[in-house]
Amino acid sequence: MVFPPTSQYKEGGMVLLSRSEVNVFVFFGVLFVVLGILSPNFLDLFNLSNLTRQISLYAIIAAGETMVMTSGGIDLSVGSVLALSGVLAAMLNAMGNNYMVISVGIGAGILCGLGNGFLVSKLRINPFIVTLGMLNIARGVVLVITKGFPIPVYRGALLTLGQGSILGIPILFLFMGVVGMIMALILGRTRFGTHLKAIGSNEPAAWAMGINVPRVKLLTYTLSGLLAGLAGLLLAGRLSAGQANAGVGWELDAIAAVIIGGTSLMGGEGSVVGSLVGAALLGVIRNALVLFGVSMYWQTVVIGCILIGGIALGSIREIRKVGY
Amino acid sequence: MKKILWFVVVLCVTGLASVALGDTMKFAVVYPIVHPFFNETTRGAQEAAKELGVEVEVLGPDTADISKQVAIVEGLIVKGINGIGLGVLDPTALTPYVNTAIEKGIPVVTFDTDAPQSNRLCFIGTDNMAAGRHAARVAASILEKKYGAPKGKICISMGVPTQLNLNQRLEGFKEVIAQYPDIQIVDIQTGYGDPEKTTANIENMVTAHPDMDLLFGVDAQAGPSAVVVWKARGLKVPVVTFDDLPDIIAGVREGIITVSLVQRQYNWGYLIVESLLKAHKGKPLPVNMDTGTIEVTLENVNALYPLGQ
Repeated sequence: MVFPPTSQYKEGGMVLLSRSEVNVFVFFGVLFVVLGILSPNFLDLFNLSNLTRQISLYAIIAAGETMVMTSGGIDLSVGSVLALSGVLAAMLNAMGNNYMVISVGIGAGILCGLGNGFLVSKLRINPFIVTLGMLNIARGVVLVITKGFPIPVYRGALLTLGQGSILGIPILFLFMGVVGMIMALILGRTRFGTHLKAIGSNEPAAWAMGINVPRVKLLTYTLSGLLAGLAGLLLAGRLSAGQANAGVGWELDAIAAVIIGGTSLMGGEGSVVGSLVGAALLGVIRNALVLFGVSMYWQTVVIGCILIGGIALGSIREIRKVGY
Repeated sequence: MKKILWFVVVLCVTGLASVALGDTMKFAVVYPIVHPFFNETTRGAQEAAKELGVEVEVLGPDTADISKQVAIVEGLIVKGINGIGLGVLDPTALTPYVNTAIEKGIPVVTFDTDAPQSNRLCFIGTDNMAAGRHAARVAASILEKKYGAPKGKICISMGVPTQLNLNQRLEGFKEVIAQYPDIQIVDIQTGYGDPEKTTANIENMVTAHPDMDLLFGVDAQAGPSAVVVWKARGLKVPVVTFDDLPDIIAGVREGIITVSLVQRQYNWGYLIVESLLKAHKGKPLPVNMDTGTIEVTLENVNALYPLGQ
């Protein structure tokens, strides 16, 4: 049985916001207000600026993951690709050429993404397997390059990007905004985005309609790799070092953010803005748990409960609407 | 065809014989995880091997994955290695494999983290309870210098909460701090060893406890992360950490990390090779070799870690 693509009702919408991400917006808004009332530190300007930094990198990765998951695929390699890009950027940074640092960092991400995309689209290997392989390859290359040592970043554009701010707004957060906006436009407003959703909801039908499925997929994984690469070099700037163990397990955080944000795990429907808010939600919860002094052993339990709770809210609304 | 077969058989037999009768012993050092922290252990083991005329190979899982370490140890037993120095990732899981090796006549010593219930010949490393107590005494004396009496509020940045050595450090620390009624531990957070999560946690603790008097970092990630946060906020609060990664030593030089307690990883590597060789010669080994912790401060950092190295 084939369900019609649920994205149909979005076509006439004026905004980038659709129904699937309303839940996460409501949830996030309520949480933000409640925390603001309960904790005097939460709305502290410094905390907010920390918070935006803590959220931004997860959100950038989640934006790429949204594209992949909308196409019905998955990218498990983002955390490792991020580490690879960060380490390469940190190494080149010592040589002092900012353009090279940034282009090699992002370039490494693009290459990994191209590799994923090629194997998924041309050789038709299951994306779970391909990106799991890439997860190991990229992490392995990082260990080969660094022997596990952190590579310090002392100066240069990398530091400014990772730690600087413009008019009090962290540059990391500005990056997240720009990336989010571009990705949301690509997914919601371009032919490429429509093709992505079509492939995600019914690949044979998309192919029959004349959509160049392999090309769209190749581009999608490349995009995800590019964003992981960008996040990697920004993280190296934020931590003043390219860390070999950066980003371990981040793919799961990214996937969680994407799903909380209303993107379907089955593909066919996705929302970049929802994913950004999903990432923000995770960051705010982690921040709040520390501010409220929740025991470190309990924090993981609380995060798990909130994840399921957030999804359940959306599910309940869906059940009410559909009627069963 | 028959000739080729015979040739192969002869080749195999001579190969096996040369392994069995070969006069150079081959030992393996198995890390709990591939991490720069152990590079000095490798150096110690290699130098000992050179001096004592044995060979040494270094292995370890790329993530803190117990089954990966088990597979490495199994492989070494099958290969017929002459001795193993094992940084135990999980004592319960690794104990049967340590015992199998011992039964097959392969001496095993543990280092850094122990499997006390196993038949391993000895444990080489830091007594982490003692190291935690050491850190607490250092913290108390810093607070005493600041206030004239040992009092104040301490925040703790913990690593992976299932790691035995970190838990022992934390226990030892708490045990000594409990003897000072005016020192409180106001917060303990874990970043699970992840650089970004540890940094975010420290940022959040700084926000939650503006009156913090001291930060204690239990794992090797706490130091580097604290340096990032302290620089961003221009904090002057004293920091006590563990280990001597390059960015921790840089933090000590810059006066951000007040004291870092450093373990003697080089000695571990040296002692592993020496002990395994002793075991082969039938000499007795002590059950525990505590290599202790030393304090690295602004005063002695340049002497211990000369600049430009």
